[in-house]
Amino acid sequence: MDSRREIGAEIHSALARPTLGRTLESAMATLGARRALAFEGLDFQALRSRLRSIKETALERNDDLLERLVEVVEQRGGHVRAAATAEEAGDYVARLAVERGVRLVVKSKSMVTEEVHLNAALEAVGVEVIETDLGERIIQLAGERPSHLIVPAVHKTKAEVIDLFAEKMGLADPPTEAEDLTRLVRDDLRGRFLQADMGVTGANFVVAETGTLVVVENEGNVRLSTQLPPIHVAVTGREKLLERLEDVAPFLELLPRSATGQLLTSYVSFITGAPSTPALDLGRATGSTVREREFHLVIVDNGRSVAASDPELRETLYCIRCGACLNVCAPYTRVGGHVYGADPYPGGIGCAWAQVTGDTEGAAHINGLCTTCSRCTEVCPVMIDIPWLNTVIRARAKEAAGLRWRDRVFARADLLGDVLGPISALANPLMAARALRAPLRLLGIDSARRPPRYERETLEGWFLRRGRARVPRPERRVALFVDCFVNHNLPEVGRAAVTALERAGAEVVLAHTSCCGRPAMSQGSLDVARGWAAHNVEELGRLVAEGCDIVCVEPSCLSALRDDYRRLLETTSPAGDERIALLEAGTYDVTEYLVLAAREGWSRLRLEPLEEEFTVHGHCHQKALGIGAAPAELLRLVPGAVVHEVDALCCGMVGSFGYKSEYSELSQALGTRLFERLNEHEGQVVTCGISCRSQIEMGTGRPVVHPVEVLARALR
Amino acid sequence: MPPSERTNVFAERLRAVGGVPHLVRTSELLDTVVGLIDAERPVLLTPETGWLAPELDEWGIQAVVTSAAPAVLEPALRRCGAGVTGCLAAAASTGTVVVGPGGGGGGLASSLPERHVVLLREPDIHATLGEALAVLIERFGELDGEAVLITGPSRTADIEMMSVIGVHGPLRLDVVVILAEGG
Repeated sequence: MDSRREIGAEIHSALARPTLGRTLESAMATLGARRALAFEGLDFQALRSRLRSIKETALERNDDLLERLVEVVEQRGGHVRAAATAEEAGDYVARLAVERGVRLVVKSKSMVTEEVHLNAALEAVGVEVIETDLGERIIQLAGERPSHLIVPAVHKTKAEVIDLFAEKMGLADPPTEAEDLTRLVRDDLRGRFLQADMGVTGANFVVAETGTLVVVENEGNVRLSTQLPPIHVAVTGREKLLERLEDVAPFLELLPRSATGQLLTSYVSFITGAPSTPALDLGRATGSTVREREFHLVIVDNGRSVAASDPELRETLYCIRCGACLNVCAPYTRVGGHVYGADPYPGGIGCAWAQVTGDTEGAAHINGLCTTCSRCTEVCPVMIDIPWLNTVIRARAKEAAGLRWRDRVFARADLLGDVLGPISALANPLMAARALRAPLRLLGIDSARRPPRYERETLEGWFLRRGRARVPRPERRVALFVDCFVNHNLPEVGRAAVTALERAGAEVVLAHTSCCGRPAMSQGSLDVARGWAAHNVEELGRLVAEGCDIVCVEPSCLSALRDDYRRLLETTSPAGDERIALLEAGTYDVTEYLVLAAREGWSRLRLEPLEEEFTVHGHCHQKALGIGAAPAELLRLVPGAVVHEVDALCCGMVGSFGYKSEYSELSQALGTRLFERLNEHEGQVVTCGISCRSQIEMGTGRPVVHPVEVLARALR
Repeated sequence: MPPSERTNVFAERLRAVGGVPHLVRTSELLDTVVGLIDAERPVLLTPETGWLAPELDEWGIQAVVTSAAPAVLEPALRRCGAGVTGCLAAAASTGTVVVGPGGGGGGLASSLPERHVVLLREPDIHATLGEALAVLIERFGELDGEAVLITGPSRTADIEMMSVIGVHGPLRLDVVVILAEGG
């Protein structure tokens, strides 16, 4: 089976599990609510830029810090092993266990030990390994892999845990309450802690100056794993190194809040070498020959050094594994972590970790699951642009394997319009007939989905025919960015935008420069996207320099212009940077722009009352740009309008995502969650993106309009 | 002197994370600690709280200091019901106590027993976590590299995100705040 079909089948089986979606949704709702409370009154932006800069500095000095760490730990009698590969890390711990006569290892939760397959390495030499974190223990008993960075068994219902415990522990009458199930594991594992010869932990931070591990946890198993067994082995990635204890403090503000919505976890252990108490023997397994306290620190590279000098992948290494990105990821929260076959980190960040640790095939396999909605970037405590990492990885995979026909089609929204627009009278009825669309399946396009209609008269055609409107004493000059979709598929939205802007007092020209590059970026066709970006920076930049404000109708195009060009073009010259900065600062979403006009007092809009209800779905890219409130705010300018804002994740359409055969079912499942919320309200559905619009129209049968269309109706 | 506003905030935050504050005068300290302890099982003390041992002995409670020889310590570790430690500092904003080795073995006394009793002097309560951490960092050299921030009893939410108190660490955390006395 090829990768496309395989991922489609994996998604299908995840969606077919009756409890999975609901279990995940309820867990994510709980985490979301706790998170919101925990962040109250905190300057998140200031704190996270601080964390980011600490991580950047520490990574730049990583070699020096590692050298210092080795020196300090060895001075205190500990051992450090810098392991170049996953195998080397596993071999080191396994050999140590054999040499010391270790029989039983108690292990606390650590993603790096999953990454290096430590349990397998230990079991191969006859050592028993017991996972002691409750979630990890559940996973171990079930023979599964963690499905979340923080809550490894989040995909399991309580009923499944009860059945699992009953079977694995041989209980005829297992307890049914979470509290009793937890107590059962406490009692079961207490003896193991006392018997174990070796405790294995990870580390959240490693302080080079003092040789101290900082480990964050709630259950107390890290504490027992490091206090009781005579040998403590900590396994962690080299990107965890920080210079000083002071550097750790701000991370403690954001890591627990981001991970579980706690102000602080129950325990944050500072561990510097072995405990001062002598080795204890509390009933170790017969045959154990361990007598002395020892401390070993295994620092894993496994691709990290290479990634550190890769300007595009580097920021993966700032990740503190809080899992906040997963909790807001639309695909993840619907299918769960196991569909992300990459080992062991799930989600969009997991794709990046797979690439860093050398699993390029795994990374390519799960890459398409990222819808680039950017909600993850908004919550990331170290500001990692996960969608961009996924875009880069997609581009590299395509470079290696070559673009497929479908990529080429979806990358060129501009050409599709140019070709299908003039023959729309023929093309639209053909494409509307499902039977006639069947051959699209051969390209990997879901033929059940109705493609967008093409209009004979483009926005540009209309504007030329109409001529530039004379606005007396214009307040502003606007160049409306003509995107491929508004131009060919929804020119009526463009016409409404032009009218509203002109009536507000702006003189409007059209900026038909080139495609924004977003569709090409989405398909991993970065060279094409770079070409468009360079052209737009030049042409739109010229308009900005002439005193025009650039206004976009489609938020995805806006996001490309305002958010992606800097990274796409990787300018190194100050002049290049300046041109991009000029464009970023001079570009607006049309709803944002009209709201600003009203707020700044120059808007001349006179609006008739509309005694109607409007239900607004926010576009992910608007939210990511911090202008998520603008569409609803604009509608509230209309006297009498009752506006409901629906709080939902990504609609699931995401440009071409919903049309791709392997993701179409997931796209519809994501849509369903949104449709349920939209259907709680009557009235006109309003949204800004063409993708969201077609997803909602197809899924609910309700007509959808752009806010400027409502405004145009209310113009006096 | 009544507890300060900061102490009240600390007590409130501690309760919010499932810990139990006890605000006492110095003269009430011993009775309070005895009241929290299961007299049938040994109590772990650190060298720092070792002064309690003779007092507890009068109540017929066996106390073992974590710096004791393995032959004495090991049987106590297997049976202990509570551990009593001191702390370096506390943070009112999060309800956190900063616990060091207390002269050796503080980690055992605060992680192994079902109940952890912390003795905290009121002036050691700081407003924010950052300030409490600053104390930890400043005194890190004298701690033998060993310290833990404790915020409530051990807990989990690994089964359907339901909060459960008491996993591998203590099921109960009592913080005895010794109020500053005027004069």
